[in-house]
Amino acid sequence: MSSKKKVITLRSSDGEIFEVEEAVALEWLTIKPLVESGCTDAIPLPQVTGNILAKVIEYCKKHIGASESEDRKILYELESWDADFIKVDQGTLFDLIRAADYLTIKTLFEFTCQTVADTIKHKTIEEVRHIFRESNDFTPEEEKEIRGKSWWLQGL
Amino acid sequence: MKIRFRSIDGKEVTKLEVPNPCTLGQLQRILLDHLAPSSTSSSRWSVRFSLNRKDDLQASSDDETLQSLGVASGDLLFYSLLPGVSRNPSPSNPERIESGNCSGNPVNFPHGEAVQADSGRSGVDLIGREYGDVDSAALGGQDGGTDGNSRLLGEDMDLGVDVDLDDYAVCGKFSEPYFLRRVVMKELKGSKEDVDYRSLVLAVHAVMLDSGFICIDPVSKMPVDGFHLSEQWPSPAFSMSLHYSFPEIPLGQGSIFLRFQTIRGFINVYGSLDNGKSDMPRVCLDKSVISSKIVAVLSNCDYNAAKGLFDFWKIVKDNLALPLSMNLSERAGLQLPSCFSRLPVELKAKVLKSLSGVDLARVSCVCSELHYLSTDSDLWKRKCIEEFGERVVADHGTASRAEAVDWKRIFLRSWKEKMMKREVWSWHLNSARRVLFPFHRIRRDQHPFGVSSIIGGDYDRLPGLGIPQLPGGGPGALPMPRNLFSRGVPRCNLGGGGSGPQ
Repeated sequence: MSSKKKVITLRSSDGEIFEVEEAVALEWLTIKPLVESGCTDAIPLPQVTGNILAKVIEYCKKHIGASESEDRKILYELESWDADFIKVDQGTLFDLIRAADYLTIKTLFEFTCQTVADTIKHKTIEEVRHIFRESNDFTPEEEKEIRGKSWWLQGL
Repeated sequence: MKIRFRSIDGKEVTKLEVPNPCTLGQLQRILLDHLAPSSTSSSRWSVRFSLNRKDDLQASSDDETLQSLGVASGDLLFYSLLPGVSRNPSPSNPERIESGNCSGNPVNFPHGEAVQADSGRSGVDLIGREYGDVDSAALGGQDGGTDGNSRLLGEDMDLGVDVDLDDYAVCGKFSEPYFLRRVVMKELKGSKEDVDYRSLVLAVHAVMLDSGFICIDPVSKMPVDGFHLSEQWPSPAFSMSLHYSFPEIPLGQGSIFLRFQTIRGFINVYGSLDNGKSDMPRVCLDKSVISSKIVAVLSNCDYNAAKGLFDFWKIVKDNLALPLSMNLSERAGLQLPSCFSRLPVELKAKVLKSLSGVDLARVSCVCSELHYLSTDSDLWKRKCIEEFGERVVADHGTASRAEAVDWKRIFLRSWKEKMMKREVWSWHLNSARRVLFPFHRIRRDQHPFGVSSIIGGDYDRLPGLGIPQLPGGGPGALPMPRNLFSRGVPRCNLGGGGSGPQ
């Protein structure tokens, strides 16, 4: 039981120090071997900034144990908590995706990707361009070809 | 039965008696006989019929009757005449008979001479475009324009939906590496020597251009249009450099360069800021492997090569182009690219996995990068399974062809089938309605004065009232014969002998 109380120290790219329970850190497959080897030093995470790491820890703390719960009420609460959690600007959202990928946190990664997918669901091409702030870089010929190929998307 | 005929670009209507049932072939003969009774050349001409001027009537088999095509007695059919394939004039000069023109003469059927098409109307365009396909079976199984007309969609269903997707050019190839085609084809022309080296350098160059960089002259810092190494390729033994900047950056205010260094079969590509102050992103590429893939992809879009090239593109983009573009933007004080653009390609590809097939297709039209990312056939396989179930994989993913299945194409085909089924259903419903309620349209306004439809009895005198409740049917109540039936079975002997069920 004492191992559950064990705390892992993490250092973000901007030098901030975070402490998480070992059980949480074990969900992060990237650092799992380090944690299992009994590393006591602060684990450096050079690709994650402090504010994003705080978000990641917040998510994982909430989800540990709760995701597997059978209780509908708990799952429902978790869902609405998630919805609030992900109300962030686009930059944070993509940073979360990056962090989740870097730390290999499957649940968070899937959740954030799904959030992006939901954002552009049923949107027109122009709307997607606007959301992603991508510019149309096709040459006129390519554009014509692509328009021709995607006639079936009209009205969907 | 009688059918009315009208030339697709004429005004005169001809009424002809046709046998019932009648096939399209018979109809064609009857019309040709009528238009040119003396001619023996009717076999040289084929006729196209259409109910709406736009979409051709097509029978799936020779003995399909007009009724099954949705043509009824009294219908107006548009027709156009086309010369048969046996005396095909040059395709560049599409000719066809103007049968029945506005002057009212039904036809001047010339013997041997076809009249030049002089009209630019849509019907003519259709004919002109499809001219090359016209043959003696032009009325048979040819697949005309299928969109728009539910009748024709219905026939496609009967044909087992064997639509040729190339007609729609939905997705002709496995992938369209525009980023590469723009550049490499120009440079590799004719040069056999050191194609490996050149194609790889060019491919990296193409990825850089694809990421928004422009190539600049290292000395003058002026942007150079394209890639001017064709005549002055250095020997692979020397390292060569290419310089890039962003179009937004003023001249000489910042650039990056890539250095290509050959080490045996590999090329190391180092990227650096011009002041050399940032850490150098680097990739190591296998020359011959990548080059063979590039050539294979550009020549025939080989599936495995396309997949390998896709990986190459991701590696160069994530490890060279992206970090360099961030460094350069930072140095020149430019606004950093949008959050989504900054995401490594690898992650973008993962995000795309969460999209539905239709959303994915739409996203592929957003920009060239997303277009290229969404050409991944494995990704489309996933979408096929999600949308249409494992059955699709069982149908198409046979072991022998497993390598070469283009899943995007299959997705589109399955999607079209699904849509067609839906269309056909609504058409069947509509036609059923037409048959059952032929006067539906005329009688649609059943209560023109907003009055209840009950006619007779006392209700038409008191239209505002509902059926009065008559408690207990008191002595003063009027007899209500209708109510006898509403109660259920009328009390009469229907010859059952009066005995109940045994």
